[in-house]
Formats: sequence, C-alpha cells, structure tokens
Amino acid sequence: MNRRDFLKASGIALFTMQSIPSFLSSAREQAKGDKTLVVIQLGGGNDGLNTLAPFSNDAYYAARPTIALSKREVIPVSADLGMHPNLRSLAKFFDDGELAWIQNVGYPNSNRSHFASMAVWHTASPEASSSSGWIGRVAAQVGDPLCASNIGNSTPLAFQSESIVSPSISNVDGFELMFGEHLQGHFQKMLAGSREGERAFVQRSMEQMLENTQKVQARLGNYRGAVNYPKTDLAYRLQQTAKLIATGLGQKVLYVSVGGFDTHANERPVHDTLMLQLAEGLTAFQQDLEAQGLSEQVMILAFSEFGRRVAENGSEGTDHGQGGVMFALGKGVKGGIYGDLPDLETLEDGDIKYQQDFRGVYARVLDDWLGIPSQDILGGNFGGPEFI
Amino acid sequence: MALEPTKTFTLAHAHLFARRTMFGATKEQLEQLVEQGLEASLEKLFGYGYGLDLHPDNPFKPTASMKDGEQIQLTQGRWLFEMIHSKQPFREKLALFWSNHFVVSVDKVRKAAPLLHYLETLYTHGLGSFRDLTLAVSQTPAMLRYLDNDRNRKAHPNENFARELLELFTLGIGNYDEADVAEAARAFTGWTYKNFDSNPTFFFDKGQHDTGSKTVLGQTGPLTGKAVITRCAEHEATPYFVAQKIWRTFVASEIDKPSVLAIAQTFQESQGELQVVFRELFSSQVFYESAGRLVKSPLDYVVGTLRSLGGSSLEKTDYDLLRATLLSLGQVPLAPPNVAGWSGGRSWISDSTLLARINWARKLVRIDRLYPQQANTVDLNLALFGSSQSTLDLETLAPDEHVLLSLVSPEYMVS
Repeated sequence: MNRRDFLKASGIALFTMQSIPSFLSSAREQAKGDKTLVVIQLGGGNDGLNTLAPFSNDAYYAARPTIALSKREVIPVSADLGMHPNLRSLAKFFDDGELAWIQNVGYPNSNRSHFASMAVWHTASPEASSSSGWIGRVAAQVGDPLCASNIGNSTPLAFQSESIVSPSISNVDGFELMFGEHLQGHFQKMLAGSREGERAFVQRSMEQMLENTQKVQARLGNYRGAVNYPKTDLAYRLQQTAKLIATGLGQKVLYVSVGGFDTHANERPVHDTLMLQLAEGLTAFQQDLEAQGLSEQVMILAFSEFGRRVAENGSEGTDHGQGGVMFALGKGVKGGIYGDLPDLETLEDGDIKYQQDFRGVYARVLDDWLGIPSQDILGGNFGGPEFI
Repeated sequence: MALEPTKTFTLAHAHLFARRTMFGATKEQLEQLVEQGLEASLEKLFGYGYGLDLHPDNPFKPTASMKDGEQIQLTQGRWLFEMIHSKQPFREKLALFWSNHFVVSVDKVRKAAPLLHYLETLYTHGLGSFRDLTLAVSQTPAMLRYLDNDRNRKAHPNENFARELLELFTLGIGNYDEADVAEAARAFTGWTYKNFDSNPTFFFDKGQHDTGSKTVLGQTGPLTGKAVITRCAEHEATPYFVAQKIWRTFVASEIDKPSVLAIAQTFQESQGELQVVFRELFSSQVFYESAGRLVKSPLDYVVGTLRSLGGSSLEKTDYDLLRATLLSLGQVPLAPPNVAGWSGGRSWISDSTLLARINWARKLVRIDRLYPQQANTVDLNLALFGSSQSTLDLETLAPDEHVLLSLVSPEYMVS
C-alpha cells in the first residue's frame, strides 16, 4: 500500500468529505470557472511616480531633482508617461495590449500609516466597517478552502474570514506530510477528539492542512518545469504560484507579496532593483504560464498600500503618500493607460489626490474576470476602468 | 484596580510561568520552581542584574567576520545560543519582546556591531523605565539607520522614525495627526551616529538640527528629540498601547479589556517602571488562568522544546539547520517582516508553518543527543505539558515516537 492509498484507507478521506457542508457544494460548482487572479502586493508603499513617470511634466522634475526618472531613460508608453527603465521586459506585454496601467488609485480619507492603509486594501473597507478580508469573503462564498491561497508562510489579513481558513503554501513540492504508515495512524488518533479555544484552532488547521496537501500532491505531476526563473524570492513565489495553478484545483485567487518599497532614503538604487526583480519575475511567470498552456486563464493584479509624496525629501527618497498606480497583466487584459495623468499641481498635503477608488478595480476583476458579483464581496457598487 | 494576585503556585502554574517567561524548563527546573515558590522565582527571574554577560560557551564571534551576510548570521546564532542555553532566559525572552516592539531588521542593519549594541540596549533597559528604554533604543545606531533618521536633516526632514515612534512605539494610531508626525520629525533632525561598523555610537549633528519652534501633541517650543520622546512615553495613550502588546505576547491572543486596563493603570502609576508591571502580571490570577490562550511563536516552540528536553548542547553547525527551520516557521530573530514586527497569535499557523513544525520535530527526535532517550514518558510529559499524565493517548509508543507526536499535538503548539 502506498502512502496515498493508506491515507485513503485510514479515514482521512472521511473527514475530508464531512468538512465540506453539502449546501456549499453547489455554490462551489457554480464558481468553478477556470479563471485565476494572481494578486501581487508591493509592500511598503510603491512610488507610483517612479514606476510610471509623467516625463512630460516639468513639475515632476522640479519636485524630484535627484530621483526623477529622466526623459532619456524611461520607456515611453504615451506622449506623457514612461515606465521605469527596469520594467523593460514588460514593454512587450504593453505593446501586445496585455498590460494595463491604472493611475491615481486610492480611497477616501487616505491613511499614511503602512498598517492602517494596508488593512484598508485588505478588507476593502476604508471606513473599517469590515474585519474580514476581501479574498476571505470570496473564499467563503465559493466555499472551497483551496480556491484562494497565499504563497508564503503567513496568511495576510486579506484572507481573513469567519467561515473558512485559506492556506499559506510556501513550497508546493514540499507541501506534504511525511510520516510513515505506522506513525500516520497514531497521528490521526492523536489529532481526533474535541478541543477548545486555540487548541481547537490548531486542530482544525491541521485537519485542513492534511486535506489540502493530499489534494495538491495528487496533482503535482501536471506541472512541467519549462522556464528558468530568476533567483529572487519573488520569482520563487511566482513559480510556486504557477505550480499551484497547474494542479487545476479551481484556484480563483492566489496571493504573492514582495516587500522593500518603503523608500524613505536613497530611493533610486533600491527601487531600481525592485523594479527589475518585479519585471523579470513576472516575465518568467508569463512565459511559464504560456508553456503550461495556462496563459489564457491567469490575470495578474498588482497594488501597493499607498503611493509616495510627490516631492522628494532630503534623503534622496520619498515619504508616505496617497494615490498610486496599479497594473494588470495577462491575455485577458485590455491593455493601455487608464485614468488621467497625475495632477502634480493640485496636491493634498503634498500627495497625489486619488481619483479612482481601488474598490472599483477590485469590482472589475470580480465581475468580469472571476465572475463573482462584486457587490456581494465589496458591499456596494463601485465603478472601475474597463481594462478587462 | 490592580490585578488580583494568584493564591497558589502549583506545578501547572510553574509550567506556565516557565513557558511564558523562560521559553520552557526541564522537569528538574520545574520542580525547583515549585519548591522555591513564586516570590523567589520572580526574584530570580528579575535578578539578572541587567548584566550583558554571555554564556561562557557561546561560540559565536559575529564581528570577527568580514562579510555582512556572515556577520548577520553569526549575530543571530549568538542570540539563539543565549536563548537556548542562558541561565537567565527571561533576559532573552524580554529582549525578543522589545525587539518586536522597537523593531529593527537585518534588511537594513547589515553589520554585527550595531545589531549587538541594539541588543545590549534592550538587555540594559528592558526591565527599567519605559521612557529610558524608548530614548535609549531610539538613539541606537541600528534604529537611526533602520528608520532613516541618519538622513533626517534640517532642510529636508525625513518622517520615517517620527511616524513609527508615534504609531508603533508609544501612542498607537488614532492618537496623533499628520501635523504631529511632520513636526516631530523636525525635532529629530541631526540625530545620527558615528562608527557604524566598528564602534557604533549616537551622534548629535548640531548643524543639522532644526532649532525652530515645533508643536507636537499640543506642546509648543523649540522641542528637542528627547523632549518629544519624553512627551510620547508619558502620553496618556501610551500605557494602554504598551499594555495590550504585553498582553498579546505574554498572556493571550485575545484582549481581556479589564485586565489590560489594569496593566495600563499599573504602568501609569509606576510611571512606566517595567519591572513593576511585569511583576504584577506574572503574580496575577489572570496570568495563571490563561493556559492555552496563546499560540506558541516559532521561537517559543523551538527554543522551548530544546530547553524543556534538556539534552546536550547544539553544535555550532546545528545552527544552520535551526536558522533554516526558523525561516520556514516564519520567525528568524532580528528579521521581522516589517516595522510592525510579527503580528503573532493565530497568524503563526498556516499549512506551510504547520508542516515546517512537524518536519522540525521529525528531525529533532532523530538527533539522539538533543533529548534524553532514557527518560520515561512521565518525565517527558512533565517537561512538555506540566503534568505527568498526558491527555494524548501515546503510551504504547516508543519514546522517540512519543516525543514526536507530543511535539506536533495541538496541545503542545499552544502555550
């Protein structure tokens, strides 16, 4: 008997079945479109103006005498806007109409605290009326714990849900419980029983983990490594993402975080490196999806908790700001530039005013990509740019 | 309304005391705690005399390496060694708590000397006055670098440090506004350091300090950095903010408001004397009633296991595995995910971190010297759970399997 047969025989399959209430299974079938959204979190406050630079605007250069992207170095995407030079490998996606930039994104009464602002994006609730995360609400509605996963160790607030625990998976190949048969049985016996409080939470998490690992391991063979990813943490996580999508387990939302964008000092070298890692990681990921035959069904959406101050500070860096840029990448994207040019004259406390509520962008991917009514998830109707 | 003191100090109490304040203890150490009683145990706990001495066998010499990456790993190894072997583990436990409050990270502080100096500052002031601690740690070159205050100059203030001082170190969000951040930043202009790599020391660059009038939290004048820190440390919002952080680290993930208010009141009345605050907490009934209400952090889990099993020392090479393990568990010392530190509680648990805990336990029980193979299950249960009778039905298993399944049980994953 091999391990998997054993697990089946030893009754794990039993609680696997029981843990999905039957009334949810129809909702789950309904939502089983094959579209996946990959959310990329750029933690720390990405500098939108040095990601997509308004190079025709003298005010940009006046505000940033040492850190602005020069007209010569940017990759122009319109008469006024240019991408960071290290995003070069993404230029072909823009040219092919698969990359959309969304400008001046934010929310009312912007908060300049990393954590307060990140919480707003995660809960999709600027008025802090919700303690659950927007992806957690998606998972709860679909009713399948594996429909949304974080790639990493620690599950972000965006996955918070009263009714469902979404997994964090750092390494797909090692996502496996390796006990011998003898111990496995005793482990099951030890885990059984009734517990309370935090112990019950750990018990539930373990049971769910066992179920998840079996499902993923059973379909790992679907992935055929075909692309060399760069040796960065981001690229590693993106490859894990591709492996998970290839399992075909109906994953609707996957989540990848990369940090280091809090560039208060000496911004250019730090931000330049981050842009390069981002572009090279995403390019390898897109090539990989292409090779797996999955590129039609995956869309990437990148955000940061806020943009940065328009004027640079005295440390060749920028302090926390408000409105920023998002981007979407994939074959399902209607490429282009959405939103007006950033207004560098009419500022709010030195920051770009937001014009596009980020919930409108969420609404667009929910309604038009995942096929999940955005009103159910966001608690309202939000208009967004038509980039899908 | 101070916290109600506990009336008894049983073996179960001693076990909770040990796992919350010293990572864990062997059966012999537990029995000694019960025998000497709570008063004497607290005296010993707080009696480390603010010393900076290391364990005589600590093999790590971080400043001897010429490479940044190695310096960092050796610094982490040196601290892990102290956590596992120190005779005064509360010093390390407390420094770990403060390093998760006044966060710095090896992401930006890439030299051993300022990291060690920062740790020594936490050792020195961790049980003293909160105001002194805040001032001292704010003036460590590690913090000045981490939050960019070394770039905070008169003509162009940098807000990074001022914002986190208000939001994460003292008042908490909602108790100040953006103008306070901008004005406080001006008060810290000119705060920098000298000799970062070799002999890091605070340096006040007078020429870069903005001597003009500022208004911070309702106070106006030519405020200095020290004046702003004093104001923040003594602000009426600070006791509760620090108290709930202490609660969530040492007592329970979920806040019990009356108890946290009581801790805050003791903090206020003692003017932030931390030893008074911790003494009351560790003597209180609510503390000993909180068993099972806290998910163990990776360091509590790993270091606590090694201390409880009381095997022989780790070899220097074992630390590579240990650091790799802590990375997959999500908690490498001095490398928190961001300036808010680890959020703790249930966020420690995910599919990946559970698997990593299980995998570490599997490796551990194969390394004979790390736990006493000859120990009987009664002794093991005592050390791991504080009771000779485990509620888990593991009695038919071999000792290594017994230990393994104990370590991966939900009972053991919580504190």
